[in-house]
Parts: sequence; structure tokens; C-alpha cells
Amino acid sequence: MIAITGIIVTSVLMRKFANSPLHITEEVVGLLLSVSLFLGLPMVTLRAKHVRVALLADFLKGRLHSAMQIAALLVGCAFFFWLIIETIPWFEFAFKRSLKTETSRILLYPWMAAMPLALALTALILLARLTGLLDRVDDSEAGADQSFTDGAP
Amino acid sequence: MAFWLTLIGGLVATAGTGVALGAALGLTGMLILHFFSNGATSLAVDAIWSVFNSFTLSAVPMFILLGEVLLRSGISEKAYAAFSPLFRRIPGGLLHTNIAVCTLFGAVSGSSLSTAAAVGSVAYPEMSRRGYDKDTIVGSLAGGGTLGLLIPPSLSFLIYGALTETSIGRLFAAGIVPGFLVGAMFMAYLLVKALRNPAIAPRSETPVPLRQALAGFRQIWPLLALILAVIGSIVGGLATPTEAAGVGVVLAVIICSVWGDLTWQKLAEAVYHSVLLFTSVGFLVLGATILAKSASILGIPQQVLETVSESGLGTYSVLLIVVLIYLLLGCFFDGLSLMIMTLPVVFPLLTGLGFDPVWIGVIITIVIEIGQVTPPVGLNLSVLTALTNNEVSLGRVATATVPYWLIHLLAILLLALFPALALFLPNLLF
Amino acid sequence: AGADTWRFNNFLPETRPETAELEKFAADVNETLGEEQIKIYSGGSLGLPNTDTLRFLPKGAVEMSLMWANYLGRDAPALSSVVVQGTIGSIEEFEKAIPTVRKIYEEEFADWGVSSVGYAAIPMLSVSVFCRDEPVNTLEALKSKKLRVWARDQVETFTRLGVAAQIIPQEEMYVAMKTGVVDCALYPALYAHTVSLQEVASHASFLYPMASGPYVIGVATDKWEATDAATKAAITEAADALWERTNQYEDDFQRELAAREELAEAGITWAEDFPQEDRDTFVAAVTETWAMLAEEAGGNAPAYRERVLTALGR
Ligand code: NA
Ligand code: NA
Repeated sequence: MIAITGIIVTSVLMRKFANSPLHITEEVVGLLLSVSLFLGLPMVTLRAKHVRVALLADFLKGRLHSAMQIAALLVGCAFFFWLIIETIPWFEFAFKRSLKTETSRILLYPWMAAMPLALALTALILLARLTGLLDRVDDSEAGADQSFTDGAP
Repeated sequence: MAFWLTLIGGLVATAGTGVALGAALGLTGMLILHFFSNGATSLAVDAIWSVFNSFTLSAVPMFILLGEVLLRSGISEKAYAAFSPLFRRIPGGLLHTNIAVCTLFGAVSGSSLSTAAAVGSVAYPEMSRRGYDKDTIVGSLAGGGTLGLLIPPSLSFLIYGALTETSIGRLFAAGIVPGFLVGAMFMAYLLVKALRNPAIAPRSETPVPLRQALAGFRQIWPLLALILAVIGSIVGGLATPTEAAGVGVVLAVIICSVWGDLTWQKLAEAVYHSVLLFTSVGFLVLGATILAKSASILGIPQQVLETVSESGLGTYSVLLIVVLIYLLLGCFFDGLSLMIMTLPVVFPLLTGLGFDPVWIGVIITIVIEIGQVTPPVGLNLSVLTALTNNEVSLGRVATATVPYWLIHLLAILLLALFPALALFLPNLLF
Repeated sequence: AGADTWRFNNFLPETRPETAELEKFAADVNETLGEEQIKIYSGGSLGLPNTDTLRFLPKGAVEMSLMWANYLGRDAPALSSVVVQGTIGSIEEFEKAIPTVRKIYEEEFADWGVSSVGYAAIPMLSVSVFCRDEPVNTLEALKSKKLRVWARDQVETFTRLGVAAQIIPQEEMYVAMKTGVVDCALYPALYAHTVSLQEVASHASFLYPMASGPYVIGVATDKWEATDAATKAAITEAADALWERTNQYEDDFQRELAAREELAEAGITWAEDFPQEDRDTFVAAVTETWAMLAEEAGGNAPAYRERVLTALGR
């Protein structure tokens, strides 16, 4: 995030005052953005901070509630595993051909690796919840104790 | 038909479990790709990669970070403390500032999501602490955020202009009056709501001396300076609207360390929290992208609209049905991708009926703004749910936002009755 | 649209004349076969980015797609350096090169599992420098300006010439020109009105003629081989007619003049063209860029460049 800010501002200043625009800005910012999103994904999952529709799940109590939690974890696992399978040939393609970005010729696969890695980590967290290695908190229960904004004065 | 059954059935079955909404949308999209597009599920990965590899999207996390920096340095608290006395006696109080600041912010940012993220990250914590009704706060923020697309600069006008060869300057000019009109109607609604239910906003009958109120303004000038500097960097040709978000972050850090109490630790917290916040919105965007891809590649939106164009209905019935279709499609697709999918059919259809291209641009911008605040795929709703740390659930944000999109519909009605509301300014200027 | 209808992904907007030609192509095929065989989806409305064409088309995610080699450089670097825009300076030269270019595209796409079933020629465009504040019609004057360009080869070329060029996406160009993030923008006059350039620029001057490799209509090879002979024949026949209609360049200059005239009425002042000396310097720089790009792309790219150069007689 800091890197994104830094490069955008440097780019603006270079163009304005040195009349020599940075050609890498757009592509590097895009790559950094993707990477920070993928790295954030396991963190958000671990802290159970996802946006969800909790109408039915919160209405149910007791064993039905647990059953619903398991169903949710299964849906999550299904999605992440399916996506992981799809990323394998996708990554292989970029790796074998050493694909680079169009303008700044940055090698893509090291950045692209963030996607399968993050998906795998996230899937592992979900599996750990499913098997009981991690507590089965869902997002509403994670509660306000670790609010996004709690550190404010 | 099978498509719609899979779409709705898939969404209900997956999202109903209470799984992260992004996963529910994504899994439904993958199923549709698998069964309806020869198993072309690999498209999902390409789609995810290209949506996040976007310079334009970077404005969203930048604006979230900007808000976090203001919040943690105490600058925003000082500003709200200063504003509070001024609004104490107006029914609705600070809620009006949400709309006003969103309007102002709409003039900086090209997107509705950035506007909701930037204003919301500061306003929600400050106002909920001051005892405002949480649902009302998020409703006003989700609704106010939509002004980001109507008031220029606006991504939707830029894309509409390029796809239909309509003058971008005229489109920008046409958005101004409806933008302010909708903003004014939002405020009027808040006023009425607060009069009928005073509990939503804390009020005080103790008059604050004018001098004291004005003295409070010394507290807010750093914030004003920041807003002016960000607008100035765009108008002055220093930065594009996307870059301005990054410039704003640096300015905010400077201002907040000089006049607020920003420390390295607080800056680190701000960065960490904005990554988390952006990710939880981003994951939703990820799922929504897969779902949108699965429908757009089948040409579904065009097919729906083509049945209208072949129906031979009258001018205003067609307009009404088109608006209704956008309402329906807007539930499932995010605004800009919906516009790209539908324009090749809607534009010739509506121009053929004699509507002005600039006027159509304004109407389409309004209907896709409505799509930003209708569930399940409503990105403005999601960013606010994430901002409240799920304190206010997606369903509650959505419910609280209903009046705002009804106002948008009212605006469409007004624009249909008095097209000059949109067309007067462009005709004057060009 | 019936279940057997082929979706044709067209990334060009509905309003472009090329789209009308593609519509005519589809109508010809449908008329011959007496059913809706091809349906065109324009303006990227199928949601498929044109840079990803070599990923979705061979897999059959859509049945047919328009392709333009220069967009495909990330996945197939050799394709984007077959023709670098600006190197071919006249219609005569261009017509000499076209058969070779078509052949190269066909071979390269075949390697990707895509059959080239038709071609649409791109008009000979004239690229001008549009500026917001003052007329700029020498490379010397351009050196003190910030210039918007749209492709990497242009960045390389202008950097060689000492001009600060920056890629700004088409949708951000209007605001960037309006506010002065850039002072000038490179754009073909023929299409300038589509992005409302006349509202943010007040001066323009012609810099170079731009020939481009043709658009290719692609179908996944396995899909094409499984297609019945009558359908194939109808498509090939309509594609030949499409090529005949579009591979005509004698009116291009008239259209360019008409476009300039219209822009002038909308408030743009046309200055003298860039002097011949500057234009020669420019073409020389593009030629160097071309060699560099082909070198960098590696693989078949240098050989493709040699074949095109040979066809040009250079
Ligand atoms: Na705006
Ligand atoms: Na929606």
C-alpha cells in the first residue's frame, strides 16, 4: 500500500517537475494492488471479517446453526479448491513462456504466484475450521473486539 | 430460463449458508461457466487477474487509506467536534454533512465506490460514537456515495462517451444539475426522517454562541486544506483523478503529522487496516467479477433487452421497462460492467425512440448507480458493511439504502418529465 | 439467438464503420445459410478483454472473435512486432506488405490453435498531435511538452527523439487533456470526435501516416474443423467480400480531410504539418524501435520482421 502511494506520487512529481514520466507506474501499481489483495485474503479469512449474508445462518440456533456453519465452510472450500485447480495451468502458461507486462517488461509469474499461494492458504484456514483445528467463528461472532477502527484515539 | 434458475438457485443455496458473499457469487459464476459455456471455468482466473491489475481501481484502497490516516491522527475527530455545534439544531444534524461531503467528494473522484469508501471510513466511526443511528448513517453514506458517478468527473460518462461517440464535455455538464438535485433530495429526505423520528440524531436545544461555533472552525482547516489540495491537484493539471487519491494520502500524512498526532505506529495501523478493509471488499469484487463474466459471455443482458426492442411498445413504456430491467440486472452485476454489456442494445433502442444521447447517458448513469446499492451485488453496500466491521449487516445496509434508490427513481421520473434539467447546462455551455 | 448461433466477439464500438462492415459480413453468412449462424456482440459487451483473446478463443468460450495482433503482445510477443505502426509510410508500400503480413498472422495463430477465417483491413490512418494551448508542429517544440500516446512502441520512439511521452488510457485522456496533466495527445483525426478530443484540444498538426496489420477473424481450430462444409463455404465467401470491401485505401485521404474539416468547425485550428525533415527523423526512430522490439520479443519475431522488410523491398 505504501509502495503504491510512493510510486504514484513519484510519478506525478517526475512528470510535473522533471518532465520525464515514469513508464512503469500503471503496471506496477496494478501488480502491487493484486498482490496486496491476495496477501490480505488469508488475513481477512483468519479473522473472519468477510462480508456475508447472515440472515438465515444467524436465525438458526444450536445444532442447526452448526450444520449451517459446516455448509458454509464446505461452500467456501469448494470455491477455493476449484479456483486453485484453475490457477495451475494459468500459472504454468505464464511461467513457461516467461510472460512479461506489455510496457515495462516486468516478469509476471513471481507476482502471479501470489494468487495460488493466497488461495491455498485461505483454503487451509477453512479446512482447519472444518476439522475443528481452528474455532468455528463466523463473521458476526468475531465481533467488535477487533474492529477495523478500534485503534483510533 | 435454465440460466436464471441456476443463477438464482445457486445464489440462494450458497449465500444462504452465510459463507463469505464473494465465495457464494464466485461459486455460482463458476457453475454457470461450467454448465453453460463448455466448461470454460479457466476464464474466471483471467478475469480476476485483469480486474485487480487495474490502475483505476487503485483509487479505492488509496481513498480508504486516506480516511484511516485522518481517523487515527485525530484530525477527523477534531473536524467533527467543530462541525457538531453548527448542526446541532438542524433535524438530522451531521447526517447532512455525509451528503454534502459526498457531493464535494464526487467532484474529486470518478467512482461511486471510492466516494463511499473515502467518506465512510471517516464518517461512520465518528458519527456512531456521537450517538447517531447506525443504520441511518450507513444508508446516507451508501446513498451519498452514488453521487460520485453523477457529478463529474465520472467514469461512467467517460466510458459511455467513448462507446457511443457522445460528447464527454456535454455529458459531464449534464450530470451537474441532476447530481445536485439528487443530493438535495437526499438531504430533504434526511430532514423529514429526523423530524418524524428525532432519535436517529442526537440534538441539543442549548444554543451555541456564534462566536464559539466559528472558533471551532479553526479545528477544521487542515481538513479543508486537504480537500482543496486534492481538488486543486486535479483542476491544476498535476494529477489525474486516479493519481489524486495517492497524492491525497501523502498530503494527509503530512498534514496529520503536523497538526494531528500521527505516529509511525498509527500509520502502520492505518495501512494494516486499510489492507484488510480493501481485501474484504476486493474479495466481493472478485466473486462478482466471476459471476458477471459468466453471464456476459453468454450475452444474457443483451438478449433480455432485445426482447424489449422487438416488442413494439410505446416510447415511455419502453423506457419504463428498460429501467426495470436495469433494476433487476443491477442486483447481480456491478455498474460499469453492466453498462458495457448493455449499451450496444440500449443505446440504439433509446436513440431510435427519439431520446437525446446525452440525456440517455444521465439516465443510464443513474440506473447503474442504483445497481451499486441493490443486494446481493451492491459494491457500495459491501464497502460500508466492511467499514462497520459487520456491525451493520449487508441486509441492514441494503434496507437502509432503499429510500435513496427510490429517490434516484424519482429523479429519473423528473428527468423524463423535464429533460431540460439535464440538457439545459450542456446546451448553454457547448 | 438460437442454440447453434455463433457468438462473434467484436471489441470495436457499435459506432465504428468497421463494425458496420462486420455486421454486413454476418448478414451475408446468415443470408446464404438461411438461418442466424453468426451474431455480433460489439463494444466488448461479452466482457472479454481483447488482450486475452489467445486464452479464451482456442478454448471455445466464444465461437468467433475479432483479433488484432498488436493487442496480443503479452501472450504472443512475436505478434505485436510484425507491424509496428508508423514504419510503413505509403499505400504502395503497405499493399506490398499485406500478403506477407496476412501469411505470418495465419501461421502464428495456427500455432495457438486458432484458424484465421477472414480479415478486415484497417484504413490508412493519419496520426496528428493535438495540443490544448498552443500549436506544436516541430519535434523541437514537442520536446518541452508532455505527450499522451497509446502504445509502448510510441513511448520507445518518442523517448529516442527526446520527447516525454506517457501512455494514458483512452478513457482518461479527456480529463488528462482538460486539466493539463498532458499538454498534447497523439491521435488519428478520423476518430478524434469519438473521444471528444475537439473539446479539450485547440490545435492540431499532422505527424505521420499509420498503416496497421489487418484485423483477423478467428475461430478455434478444432471448432472450425468440425464445421460442416456449407457453413465453412458461406463464411469464407462472406469473408472474401469483407476483405474486398475494406482493403481499399484510395478514399482514406479524402475521409481524413473531411474529418479535419469537421474538427476545424468544432474549434480546432490546424497548423502546418510537421516538416518533412522531422517526419523522416520520426520514421527512422520507429524503424529502430521496430528492430529493438523484434529483438526483445525473440522467437520468431526477428524472422517475421525480415520477411516484412523483404516484402517492402527494404
Ligand atoms: Na465524480
Ligand atoms: Na446491485
